[in-house]
Amino acid sequence: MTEHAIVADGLLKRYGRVTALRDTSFAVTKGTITGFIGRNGAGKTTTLKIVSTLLDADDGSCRVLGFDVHKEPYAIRSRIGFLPDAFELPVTLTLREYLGIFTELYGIPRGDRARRVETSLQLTRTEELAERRLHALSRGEEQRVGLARALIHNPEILILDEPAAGLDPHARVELKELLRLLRERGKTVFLSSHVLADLEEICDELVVIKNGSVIFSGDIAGFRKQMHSTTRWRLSAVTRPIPLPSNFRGEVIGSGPTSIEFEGELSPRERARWIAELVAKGVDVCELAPLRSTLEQEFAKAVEEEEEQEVAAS
Amino acid sequence: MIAVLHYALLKSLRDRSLAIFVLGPALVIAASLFGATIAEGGLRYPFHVSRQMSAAQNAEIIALILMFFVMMFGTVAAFWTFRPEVVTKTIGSFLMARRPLTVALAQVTFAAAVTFSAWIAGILTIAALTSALPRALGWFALAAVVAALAAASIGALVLTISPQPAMVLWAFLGCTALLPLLVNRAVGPKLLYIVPVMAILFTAVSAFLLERRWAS
Repeated sequence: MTEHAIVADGLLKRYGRVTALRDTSFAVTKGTITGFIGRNGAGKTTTLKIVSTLLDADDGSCRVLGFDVHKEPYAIRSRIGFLPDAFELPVTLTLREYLGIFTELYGIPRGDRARRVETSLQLTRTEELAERRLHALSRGEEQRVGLARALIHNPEILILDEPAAGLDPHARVELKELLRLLRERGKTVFLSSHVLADLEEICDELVVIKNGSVIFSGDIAGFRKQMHSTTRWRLSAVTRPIPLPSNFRGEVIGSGPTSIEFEGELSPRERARWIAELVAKGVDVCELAPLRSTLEQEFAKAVEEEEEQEVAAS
Repeated sequence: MIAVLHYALLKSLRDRSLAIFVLGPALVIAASLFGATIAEGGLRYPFHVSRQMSAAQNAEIIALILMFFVMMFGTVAAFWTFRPEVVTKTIGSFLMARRPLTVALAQVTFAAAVTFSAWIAGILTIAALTSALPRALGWFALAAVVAALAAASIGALVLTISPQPAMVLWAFLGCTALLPLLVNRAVGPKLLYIVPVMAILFTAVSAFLLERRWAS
């Protein structure tokens, strides 16, 4: 049976007249990396704050590791590591001192503190920053320091709000590696991000939110299925134009002098038959390759479909 | 609470604010005694405010002025030390690890300890420059403990209401209103009971506001 680290059910949150969340329900499976996608103002940060016990929902319930966020916030706080989208570091302290303070704050026994600091430094590859004061750090270094702090008490769940924002490609690769490593160690990671390509690479599950409502919660394959994604294909020849077969089932998206792109489901047998047919006609076929749509395209499509449904309903 | 105190101590040592909060009132007192002595007819030891008064009387008047500055600096210490953490909501990382009341209590304890240390430094300066201690030093010390508690809790409360620098003015006004009552030996003893209760109340409100401010 699937064990859930986070279960939100029917969350409602209003800020005055603005409804930030309405009937928001989703679940995050233990030991997975779950991405939280939505446009700006969709309700991602509000949801993360509710899950992290910083904010009370007006209605609905949310349980983290079986604890109710409203009734048992302190039991949850000690078991999660939360990294907000923006944070500051004390510029006069060294990283080792900073992490040392947090080992004290979390009540880690005196004998274990140094080891815990070392583990956190190694995990986040911040050993070289350990004796440096926390000023003039790059965005990537700041983010790694923030993660080192969030991991210091060995939390079961890591909640990250836009951790990839402002990171250069190298730092993003490092972040992804770290998150994969944490998953291998059995941690649950719940992160929001605008960099959907990164989420696609590392996430096992997705929660998609739009205007305060969750429109999808599940694995990425399920999301593609819900979006009725069809695979896009590219067929290329070296010199000759490509004629369509008589029984072609699909939609041509674009074509060039010696290539076509189309959407449709082609079985391996159909592909083999088509290539043989083209070769028999003297077409010098060199490639028939699937072009999967990106998560970004799927997300845009999901949002568009929702908007169309809303327009139709009104 | 020790961890938050450790953090505050380390941070204020590094940015040198601790030295200013602890030694500031003593320096102000030394400067004013220096000026008053010159104005009274030349720089002559022991320093004094008025030549017509005894050394002990001079020390007593200066000790009253010291109390005012100690409260002002104490308020600023409570307001300033955790101000960056409140402004940037970094205080949230403390609240993930410890309950808000613990954090607020540490904030007030740190500022109160700094304020009382400033009073000790000030009294030592007075003793050195006037060659006398104020009479009823015990009463002054007790009043200083209560003043430190009041200044720290008012500063902490004002910070959690709003970390805007201008807000510290309200804390100054609160301390200025409290000070004459505190050093008045007829009213002061009653305040020995009232101020700690007020400090506990202010600390509890600060804790509540800290959590709210972080979540907003």
